[in-house]
Amino acid sequence: MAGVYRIALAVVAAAACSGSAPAPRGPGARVVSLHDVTTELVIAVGAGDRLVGVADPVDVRTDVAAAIARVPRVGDLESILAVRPTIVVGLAVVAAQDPDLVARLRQAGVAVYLGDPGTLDDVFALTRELAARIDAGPAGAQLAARLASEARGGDSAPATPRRVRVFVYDCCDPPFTTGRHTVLDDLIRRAGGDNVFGDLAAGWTHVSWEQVVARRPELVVIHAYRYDGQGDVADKQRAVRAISALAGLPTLVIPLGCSLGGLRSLEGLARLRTAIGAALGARA
Amino acid sequence: MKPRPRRDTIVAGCAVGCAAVAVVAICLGSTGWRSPWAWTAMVGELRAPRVLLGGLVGAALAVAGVVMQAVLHNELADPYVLGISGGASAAAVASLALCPGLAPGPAAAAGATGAALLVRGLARGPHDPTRLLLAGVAVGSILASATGAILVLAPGSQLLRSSTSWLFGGLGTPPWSALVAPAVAVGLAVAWLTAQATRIDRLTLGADVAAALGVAVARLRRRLLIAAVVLTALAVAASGLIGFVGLIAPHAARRLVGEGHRHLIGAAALIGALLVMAADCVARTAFAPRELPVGLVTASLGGPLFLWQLQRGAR
Amino acid sequence: MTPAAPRPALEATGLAVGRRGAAVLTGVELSVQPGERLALVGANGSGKTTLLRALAGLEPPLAGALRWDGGALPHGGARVRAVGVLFQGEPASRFTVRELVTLGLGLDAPPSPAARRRVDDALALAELAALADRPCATLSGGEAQRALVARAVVAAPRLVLLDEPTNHLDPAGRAMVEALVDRLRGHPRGAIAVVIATHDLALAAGCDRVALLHAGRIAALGPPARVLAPALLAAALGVEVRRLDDPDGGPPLFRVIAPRPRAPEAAA
Repeated sequence: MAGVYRIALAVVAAAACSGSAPAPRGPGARVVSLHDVTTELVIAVGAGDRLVGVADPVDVRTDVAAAIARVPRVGDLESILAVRPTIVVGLAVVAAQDPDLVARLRQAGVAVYLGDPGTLDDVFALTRELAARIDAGPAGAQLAARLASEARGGDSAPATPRRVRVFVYDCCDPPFTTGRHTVLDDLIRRAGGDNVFGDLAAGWTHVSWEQVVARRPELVVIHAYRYDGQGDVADKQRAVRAISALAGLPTLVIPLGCSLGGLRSLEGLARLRTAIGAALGARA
Repeated sequence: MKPRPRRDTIVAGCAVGCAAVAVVAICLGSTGWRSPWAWTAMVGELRAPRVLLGGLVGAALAVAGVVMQAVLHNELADPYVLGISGGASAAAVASLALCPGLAPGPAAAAGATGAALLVRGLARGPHDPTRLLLAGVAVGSILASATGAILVLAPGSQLLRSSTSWLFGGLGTPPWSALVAPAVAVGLAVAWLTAQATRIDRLTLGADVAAALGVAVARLRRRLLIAAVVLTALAVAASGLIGFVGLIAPHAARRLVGEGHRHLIGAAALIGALLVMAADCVARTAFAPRELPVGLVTASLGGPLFLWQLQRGAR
Repeated sequence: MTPAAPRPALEATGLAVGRRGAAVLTGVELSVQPGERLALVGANGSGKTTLLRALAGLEPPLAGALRWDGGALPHGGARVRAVGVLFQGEPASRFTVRELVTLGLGLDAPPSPAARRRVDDALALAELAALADRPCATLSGGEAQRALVARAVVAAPRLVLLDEPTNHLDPAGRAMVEALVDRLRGHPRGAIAVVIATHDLALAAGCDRVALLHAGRIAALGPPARVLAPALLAAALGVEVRRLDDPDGGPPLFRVIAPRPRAPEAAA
């Protein structure tokens, strides 16, 4: 009986074959999450029981990690289909890494929803939309509202006298940094800062040290790939300090998880506010 | 005699051109023109060492190209041809994957040398340029697929990013100390090779003829190959894979000063230095504030240059 | 005390030469005097080139002894003063004629004025003075061949080895090379011994001695009048040859009538 129901759902999903097909309602929702951000969101809206498969987590909060400890790990088409999902969720980067996967999933009758948040507001929208699709709409709306008010909470502080110039260092030489349309850039702006490369229309891109120095940053944000701050953080700090004009600047470590556009963006926002406030105070 | 002073003049001209390009490249950057007379940290730390290292890398690659072409009797041989590019990229990418904070240069140099030794070992027996080149292609493609496998299988997107910078060639922001080893190597190599110039000339006539004209063929070939591999490994360690220079610079130098290696080595070194410095300048300024990898610029200059040569009926 | 008889420019005793360990010629006994011209005549595969490579010191002989000017071949810069060679199939190089001939001096440093004069002499000998600054690749076959001969002799070696110097040349080219080889006899630096491997029977007939190679041995060695006899040539080259002696005393002419059918019972 349940099997027939699932087939009917799959046929309906296949018939409405576009990225924004309405999610299957009812107790049959089986969710696969291919990205840490959507995994965290699914858990946060209380739909963890509907999670039947997750991509190997790269960097999630410990409580989320515990919640998904028993959930099967998936990755390729075969393993995803093996857990018989009704909807697969993730971020746009998943499709960029494997364009074929999305098409094949849809062909197999599975709904696919990939978010692509570029600002904090997009994150709230993602929360609502995702929750709606996995039949946790009310919880999602509630969570989004709470996050939005948390984000605004900081905004109610007295307006800062001026904006602190912030340089984001991700890696490499020539240095890799963020331009305008990324979540991290949005967070910096909300926190009272000004991304020195915020005029670049590109997302993440290579610039030159010369340009960095010419734009006179006051705070360096190290974009770390390891949440616990080991490993690459020391190397990146060393790289920044090698440039004499940047050596004395205060640095702040923002882990990847905080900049991707998920729940932890708020954490990133809080850290930035603190660091920017300190930088202002130091200059006052 | 008439030809000789003309050639010395041409080489001197190349030196002047090279120095001029160096000055322009130091003055010009992504934040505009800065005079080197006001020796600021900007120029002294961020620009000058990088430009000069680029010159050394270009010289090393050009000289390695000349030597490879002489030993392999093939004007289309470039310094990377004996599996060197494959070895260097595989080692560099492996190093970036395993130790992300470590500069991939030394690993790349080791990989380059290892691959060259492997190729030489595979093509054992009497010297046969064709077998050497075939072994080089085979080893190079095996190592290139290993490189690709590491990139695909290793976790994390940072590896792809830092590898791309390296694979397409980039000078980064080197400290002045990074120039010492390449400067010494290039200086010694140019001096030694120029002293061996007539022997190399005789070598290009063929092994039998060279032997009949008094050249210790096997010994010279061995030393030349070692010199070429060392120069290329140092270049690769400093700047990743910068292509085309090792092919264009010898070609251009031949058109200017002819076949005789006494002038060819020096001219090629100067032209190679000039090319890389100019390419680096373009890489830094064309899409400012963004920066291109140098290897992309040399490739996009190199292709049309070759086409133009073809059109002119380069023979 | 009267000076001893001049040492032979080249002396081979009991020489066996071969390719990859397999003997191609055995029992070679040769003695070439300074200023002498010796032709090596034989069918393709009879071992002319193999023998010349051994005489040039490029391959060690399988057996026997070789002495150049009474001793071993020197290495390095002195080699070009002992032996000059011209091999077949050398690709046209992009050096100019002058540069190519200068390389024949085997110098490590740029040529001194004296060396440059030698190069000019060699170019004059080969009638290439006008073409001296042209790249070799732009020369005609005959001119290129003359350039290679000039390179072989520029260092005034005691012995010159030429492998098929008139192959692929038109009659004018052939005549020029023959004339050049002729002029070597009177070279200002002293008599140069010349060993020429050739198919050109007329060229061979103009030499002092001819060695006929056949069946892995030197079948005949002596003046051309004796060695280039139709019977011997028929056996060695496998062709029916008619010989026409020049009534004016010049070298004889040879006309190949027909390839001789190789009947199984025909005696060598």
